[in-house]
Amino acid sequence: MLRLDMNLVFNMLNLIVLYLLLRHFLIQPVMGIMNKRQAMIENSISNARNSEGQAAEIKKQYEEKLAASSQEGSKIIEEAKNQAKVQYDRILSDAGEEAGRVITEAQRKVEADQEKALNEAKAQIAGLVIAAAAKVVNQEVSALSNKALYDSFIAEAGDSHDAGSN
Amino acid sequence: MLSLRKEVSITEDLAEKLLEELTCETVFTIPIFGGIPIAESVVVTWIIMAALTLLSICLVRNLKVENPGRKQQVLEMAVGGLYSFFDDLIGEEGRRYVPYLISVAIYIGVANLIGLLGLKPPTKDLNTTAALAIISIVLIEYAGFHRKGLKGFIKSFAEPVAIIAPINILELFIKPLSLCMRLFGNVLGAFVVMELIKLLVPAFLPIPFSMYFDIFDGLIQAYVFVFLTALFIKEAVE
Repeated sequence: MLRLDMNLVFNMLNLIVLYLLLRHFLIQPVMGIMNKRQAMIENSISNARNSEGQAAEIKKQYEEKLAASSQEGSKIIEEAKNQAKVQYDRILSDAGEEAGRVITEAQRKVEADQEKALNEAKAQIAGLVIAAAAKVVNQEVSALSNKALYDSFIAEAGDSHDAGSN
Repeated sequence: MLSLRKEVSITEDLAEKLLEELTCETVFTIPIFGGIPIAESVVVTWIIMAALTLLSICLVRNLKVENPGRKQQVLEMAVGGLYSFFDDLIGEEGRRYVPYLISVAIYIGVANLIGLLGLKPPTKDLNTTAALAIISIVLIEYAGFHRKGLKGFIKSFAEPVAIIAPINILELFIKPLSLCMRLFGNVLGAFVVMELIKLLVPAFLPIPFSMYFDIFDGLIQAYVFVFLTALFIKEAVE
């Protein structure tokens, strides 16, 4: 029952061998797997943190871009408005000028027509006067000298008439 | 008169049986150096070693980092639980001794429970518990030596005051002796009590006692042994 002999040494050897066996076949593999999993979890957590930070960064950039683009948009609209106003003013003034020109031309044409009509009327009146005078005087004179004579007569008569009316 | 003699013979019979149960038989003798006797405890330890190693190899196969199976989860819980238990106990300085403590815990636990399978527990042999205690004290002192160096190791005997140095040196022998004898005495005592109960009332009554003496006490002793070893190592590396 109470004996101590060589078996003490064998038992010690057994223990050491058992320790090495268990360490190699049980503890190291299991702890290795658990440590690997731990490392993986830590890794994925840090990855998640990283991508979260990246996402925030991208969001910030995006918002900045959005703000810049809206600013740019309003600038473009402003510019377009200004341009449109300039164009509008230009078109308006062009149209005014054109209209003025047309009116002036029309007036001039009207004046020309009036003058022409007056001249024609003068000529016809002169003819009529010549004819009337020929009948009155009843004699044949050189048509040309008579015509000049009557023209001067009408002119004088007109002038006196104009002076009289004035 | 006759009944008395009969009782005496029964008692003698009982004592004889008990002694027979308690002796650690020599299984075989290696025929060199005039014959080396191999005790039963050594052979049973071999069986335990083989069983544990085979079991470990079987359990450790196909371990996965992701999506572990139920078997792996239980295994991880057991090994990881033991590991963190000793790790908490022993601190960071003694982390390298944790595998030894786990191995010893498993070994003593299995050795104490192997009586249930009809084999004699190796821890019932003084040789085994003495071997455990000697290896433990060597490891404890080695841990202190490894941590503090030769000078610090020698100095640690004179702490906290120089006058208790003899007691500290005595502890070198007291610690393993107490570890050894506690384990041996508990297992032997439990074994004797169980044998007595079995001889007196073979049916039913041994069941609750077996629960306590074979299973509970065996595991408690395994726990106490490794717990104390861990405490001593922690003390040594501090």
